[in-house]
Amino acid sequence: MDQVLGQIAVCVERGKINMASPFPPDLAGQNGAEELTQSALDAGLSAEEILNQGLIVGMQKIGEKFRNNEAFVPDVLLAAKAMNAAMKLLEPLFKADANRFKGTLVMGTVAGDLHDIGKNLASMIIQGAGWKVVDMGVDVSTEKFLDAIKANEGCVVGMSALLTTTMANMEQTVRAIKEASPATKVIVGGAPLSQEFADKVGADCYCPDPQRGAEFLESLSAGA
Amino acid sequence: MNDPGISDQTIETVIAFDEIAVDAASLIQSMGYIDSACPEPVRLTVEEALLEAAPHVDIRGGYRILPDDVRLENSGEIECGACRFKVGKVIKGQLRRARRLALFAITIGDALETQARDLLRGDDPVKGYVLDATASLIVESAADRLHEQLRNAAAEWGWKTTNRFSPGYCGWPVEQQHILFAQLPAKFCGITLSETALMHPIKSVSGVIGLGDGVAYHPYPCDFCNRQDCYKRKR
Repeated sequence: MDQVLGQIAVCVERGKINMASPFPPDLAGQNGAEELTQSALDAGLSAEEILNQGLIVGMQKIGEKFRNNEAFVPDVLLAAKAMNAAMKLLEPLFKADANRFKGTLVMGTVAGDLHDIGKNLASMIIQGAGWKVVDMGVDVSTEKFLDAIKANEGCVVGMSALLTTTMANMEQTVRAIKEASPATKVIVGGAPLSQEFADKVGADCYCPDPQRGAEFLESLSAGA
Repeated sequence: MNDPGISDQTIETVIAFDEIAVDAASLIQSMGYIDSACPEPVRLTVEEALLEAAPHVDIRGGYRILPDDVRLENSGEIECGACRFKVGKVIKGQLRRARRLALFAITIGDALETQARDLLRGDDPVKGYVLDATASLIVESAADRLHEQLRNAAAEWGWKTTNRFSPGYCGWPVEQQHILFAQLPAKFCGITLSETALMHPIKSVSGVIGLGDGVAYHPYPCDFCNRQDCYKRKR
């Protein structure tokens, strides 16, 4: 049983979607995440086991590679594609279980900034870690973040900025969130940010890479 | 310093796709890969994207050379006619010898970005990402071409051009985009601004270029900008 979960993790990490996928070349003609997930279900493994011990492990590994500059955005997208193919088989089994998510993350790029690749990557990795992600898109105003917090009770907020000049908008939004909803945890990321900046604006976590965000959220769900 | 008596002039131009330089190697590099380490599916997608991009690109760009002299303010601002730009010390330093300012904008239209966004949200996010990176590279390359046209025009007057500087970068607040676009004809090259000063189409570049006989162009802009937190430096 452990073996099939390990194989699922490898397929996700390497972006091997199904048998028909010709890539990666050394896995050509072999089962991919889709077939292996079906096999695992047929063998009696629960959807939860497959998600937690197979798919999430694979996403975690690609997240770590991305952090170490051993993988790049397209590699993460390929991994997410493999995970999504497997998730299509698991979704019907989860539908009845509203508590399958570890929590909700409201995610957006701050006002004045339209860069979303980093945000999207973080969303994929965090979704892959078992969280529900409410993606607010780009150029998100403080008011929209505050509305989303009201609509998603108990959520964590994630925000990103790529321009040094929009970091000021991030500061304004984090402060407004902390004033309106002090218990709401806020995680921030983006190339120009630093731990010092995150501390200064009152964010709860600085994410130099998406995996750090997933780890912080994991610590929250573990402590809950 | 000579002054060729340049009058207020606005140029709008169409740039053909084959006039710009975008190739697979530069696209692969822009995504972070060292060429040989790029996975096969990504490499194939890059080749596909470059073939498919051309018919979806409509490059329109232009510039306005303001007729007024450039004045530097102690506050880190520069003034040119009705424009007062809070550019910060890095850009101000580069424009200090400029006699005139050219305000420019260029876009590749929204067809490619729409296609990229649909793919990113739909069935093929890898291709969507590669198309988005292709569009970014095309618009930067088109801006290089426009810059070259301005450089050639300036050379006829015995002048040179500075690097180009855009709101949002090197410490210049993005909201100052509104001041810049106020000096250009309405919907210049089909570009409009949101309230938060973001351009539509997204794959557009705008900014200023200094002109004069004492200015210089630096091939490596990071050498004169000390911002360690700039994402372009990190790349």
